[in-house]
Amino acid sequence: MDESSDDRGLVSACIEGRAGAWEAFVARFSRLIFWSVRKTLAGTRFAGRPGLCEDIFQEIFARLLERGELARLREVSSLRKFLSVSACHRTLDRVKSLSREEARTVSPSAGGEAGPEPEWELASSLPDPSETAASKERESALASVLAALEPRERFCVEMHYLEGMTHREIGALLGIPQDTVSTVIRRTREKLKSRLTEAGLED
Amino acid sequence: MDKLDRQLKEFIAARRFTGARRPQAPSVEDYLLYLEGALEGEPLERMLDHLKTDAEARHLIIEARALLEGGAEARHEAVPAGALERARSLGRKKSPLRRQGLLTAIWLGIAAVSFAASFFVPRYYMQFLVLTVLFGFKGILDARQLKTQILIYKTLTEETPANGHLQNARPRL
Repeated sequence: MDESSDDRGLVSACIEGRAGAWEAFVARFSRLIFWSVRKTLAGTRFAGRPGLCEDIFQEIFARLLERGELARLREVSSLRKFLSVSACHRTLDRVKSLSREEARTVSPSAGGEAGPEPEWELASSLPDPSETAASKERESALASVLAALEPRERFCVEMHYLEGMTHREIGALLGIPQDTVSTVIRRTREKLKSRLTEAGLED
Repeated sequence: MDKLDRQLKEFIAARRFTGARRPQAPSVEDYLLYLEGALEGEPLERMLDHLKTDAEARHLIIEARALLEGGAEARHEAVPAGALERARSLGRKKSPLRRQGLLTAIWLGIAAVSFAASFFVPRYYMQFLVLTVLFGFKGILDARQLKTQILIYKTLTEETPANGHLQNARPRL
């Protein structure tokens, strides 16, 4: 029996409430979950907070039992990966909630002054209503070049130009090599340049 | 940055999502499929759109990818004995709501038995009817109390938008 079907069998045993199944489940996945929580916490400013790692670890197991999450575990393609991602998700949630809590208690007056979240700020460079025909044509060239890109390629270009992310960061997000990101962005620029040159909009 | 780069940047910035409604946050399964490269077509576009607008989701992807790549390290992790024991004991705990539900069923059961007895023991039928009413009331009141407890429990365990955006993900793990 391979590891994943064995894991699934253990989950089924837990759902059926067989004796010792939950203990075996905890014994099998506790290292993975604890490690995932600890690693995720390590990258945050709450890394050294005593008891936090244990607390999140506990919460993950409690949720598995209380919310009928175990049944869902039978559906996922890889149980271990799912638990890792779940632990990471839960840890980041907790970190965010702690940060907010801290912000509220440290400087209560600052809360009311806070502006909108930065990632949702209004685009500052909305098109000028009196734009010329040339700029409309330029926009249409840009739109068609971007529309012709694959979703991942478009993501590369947009993240690079909009968020100012480096090629390495985009590659890490997409799980592709940095060189591929560089190639996509360079190719998009070249396509755009040739389109604009053809239209007589670029020197 | 040359003129072409500036044009591209301005064009993308002008078309960026600025509405008040956030796209629905992906579930853990969606994140996992994305990390495994198994998302294609529309689900992939939805995920990429979400990543474009949510810095926390991007952080999650980076962290989760690192975890998946270094998963073998977890074998050597030492889990504190106390935390392990507490996790084990979770499986042994009986749900207080279940116990309460059982009690309610017992009260209603006794009420039903008393009602039936009022027919079979005509001499004490009045006494049995009184018992039926008393136990029936007890059962009904307990059931309502249980409902209230469930609502309070759900409210306490439910994630609120104020707790964090990642928690706005569909109510899953």
